[in-house]
Amino acid sequence: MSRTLRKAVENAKQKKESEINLVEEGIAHLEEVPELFILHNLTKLCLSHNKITELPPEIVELRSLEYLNLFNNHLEDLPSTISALPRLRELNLALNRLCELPRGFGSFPALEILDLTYNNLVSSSFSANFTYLGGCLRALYMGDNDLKHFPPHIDKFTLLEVLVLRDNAIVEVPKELGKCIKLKTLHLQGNQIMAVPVEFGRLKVFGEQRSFRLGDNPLLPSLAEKVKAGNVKIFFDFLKTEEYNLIYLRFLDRHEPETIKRDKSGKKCRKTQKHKVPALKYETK
Amino acid sequence: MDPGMVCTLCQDPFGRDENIINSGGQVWHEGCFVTEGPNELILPSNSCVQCFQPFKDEEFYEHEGRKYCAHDFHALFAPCCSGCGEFVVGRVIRAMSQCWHPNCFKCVSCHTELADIGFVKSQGRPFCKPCNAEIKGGSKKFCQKCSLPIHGEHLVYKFQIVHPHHFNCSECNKQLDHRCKEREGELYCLRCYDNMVSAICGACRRPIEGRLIHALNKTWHPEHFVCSHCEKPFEGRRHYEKKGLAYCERDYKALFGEVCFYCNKPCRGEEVTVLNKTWCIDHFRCSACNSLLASPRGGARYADMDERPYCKKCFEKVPVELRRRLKKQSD
Ligand SMILES: [Zn+2]
Ligand SMILES: [Zn+2]
Ligand SMILES: [Zn+2]
Ligand SMILES: [Zn+2]
Ligand SMILES: [Zn+2]
Ligand SMILES: [Zn+2]
Ligand SMILES: [Zn+2]
Ligand SMILES: [Zn+2]
Repeated sequence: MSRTLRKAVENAKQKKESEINLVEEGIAHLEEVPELFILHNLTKLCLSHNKITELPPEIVELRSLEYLNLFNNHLEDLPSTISALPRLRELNLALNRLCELPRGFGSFPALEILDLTYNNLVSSSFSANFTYLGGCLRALYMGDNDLKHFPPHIDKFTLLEVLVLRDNAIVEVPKELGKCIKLKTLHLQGNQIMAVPVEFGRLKVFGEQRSFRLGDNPLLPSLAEKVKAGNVKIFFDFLKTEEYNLIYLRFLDRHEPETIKRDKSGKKCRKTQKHKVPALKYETK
Repeated sequence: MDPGMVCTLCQDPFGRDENIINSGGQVWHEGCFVTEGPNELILPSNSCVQCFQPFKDEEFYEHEGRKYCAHDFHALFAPCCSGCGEFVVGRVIRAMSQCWHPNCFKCVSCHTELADIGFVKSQGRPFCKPCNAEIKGGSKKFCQKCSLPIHGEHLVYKFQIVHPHHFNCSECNKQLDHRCKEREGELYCLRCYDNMVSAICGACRRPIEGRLIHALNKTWHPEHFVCSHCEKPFEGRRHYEKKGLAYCERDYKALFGEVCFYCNKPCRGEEVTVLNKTWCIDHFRCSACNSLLASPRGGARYADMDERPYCKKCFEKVPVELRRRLKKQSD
């Protein structure tokens, strides 16, 4: 409800508070409270579990914002201005209905944690400059989308510590992933992966405070067996052997993709009533 | 006065100096308004017996067969809370010959609610049992000015332990904190104190004129306050302390380790290590609603999705379909 939002904004303005937390308040329209966007000192805005379908482009006015949480809303689009938020460090868009990312989404200057879990994103949803995020991003959560490919140029994400691509439709793991040497957490379970590149062996995703998941994939038998045994170190050691090198080369030569059928129609975020607004026509005189 | 006005009961007009009772838009002769004692008020049944005003939104309180508006009911029958001064409706805590809301009756030291755990009265104030024990044992300090317990730093002034916030700087009048200094019986904030006394640099031992830096309980020339490892001056950048030495962020991370997943800085204060990550205790929050998940008294409760922490309430709002899949994968 916009009344609750208005009150919180009023309060933040009067008391010069830098955080607004409005969780599960039935808020649908942020544009009804334009005063929100003059809170230039706001650093944290948490609006999870609401009914927001659209984020007004004025969001960019919140120039001190470091944390923006829109977990579990009804967002179908994002304004392209969002990536100009100069100080945003964590952006949570999990459990929404996003089918695409806006133009220029990669230009966040300071984004470190990005959560896009459980949306309807496909590989073509990545904006052309998505790769620029690699300059700062430490954690990328994209589980439960419809990606067929890894984010493009993953080797540019040199600071990445956490990458979650669980439950997508990824077939191929790029060998460039081997360059993400800071990676500590890699979750690839529930995809269509048959083999991983030899370069994978360089990753340090096993040991203390590290985690690696590859289950529920149509893996080659030799890999499946090692994953099942559950010792990640042995799995990674195996990737470095001449034996696996040969297996992988043979696989690249002739592999018929073997896909696992997955029914994702039960996903809640599928139930979107997309209403496209017709594009404005320019009148030429 | 409207000359055609008549009494609601007897329908007669009013005399020149006669008192008129006006209630809820209707008028009565004084004698007509009450017939046989207060229980038999001839009043529209939707008015308060105390103020005669009709009930707003049909809302009233009934007490011994009579109806009252919320305001009068509270004023007459509901006790006031000694904590917040508001009326207490519902559960009343009667303690120390006063009335309280259950959540206003708290230990003056640690603010735990006392209604259900019992309390100890000490110096006319309620304490929980653990705090009382600490006070008796002498491990808790009390301000000798306001006699409330002192959390955090105290000040010793004229041989008394007191809250620093009771005092203001004798020069600039700013409220003081524990870092203030005493000089000839007066208290001063650091800045005013430094302006009066010339400070000595902790590194070169020479007096400091102009800009100085307070750190590690010493004063420094800005160019002499340096990282103990790389020896570069901090020049306003944040420094991290370990065993009385200061380090730059980079060296501190490299030498001593844990970096918070949220702020990406060396953890401050207590840290929480779960889900293959470490957080400052203040940054270990629900990934959805941002509520704190760990208490400094130990223990953190959270649900796990993709190794991100969630509070129970938020996790229950995650679609069942997804929760079921996550559970299957973790088995
Ligand atoms: Zn009344
Ligand atoms: Zn109270
Ligand atoms: Zn005091
Ligand atoms: Zn002063
Ligand atoms: Zn010096
Ligand atoms: Zn250093
Ligand atoms: Zn932190
Ligand atoms: Zn929560």
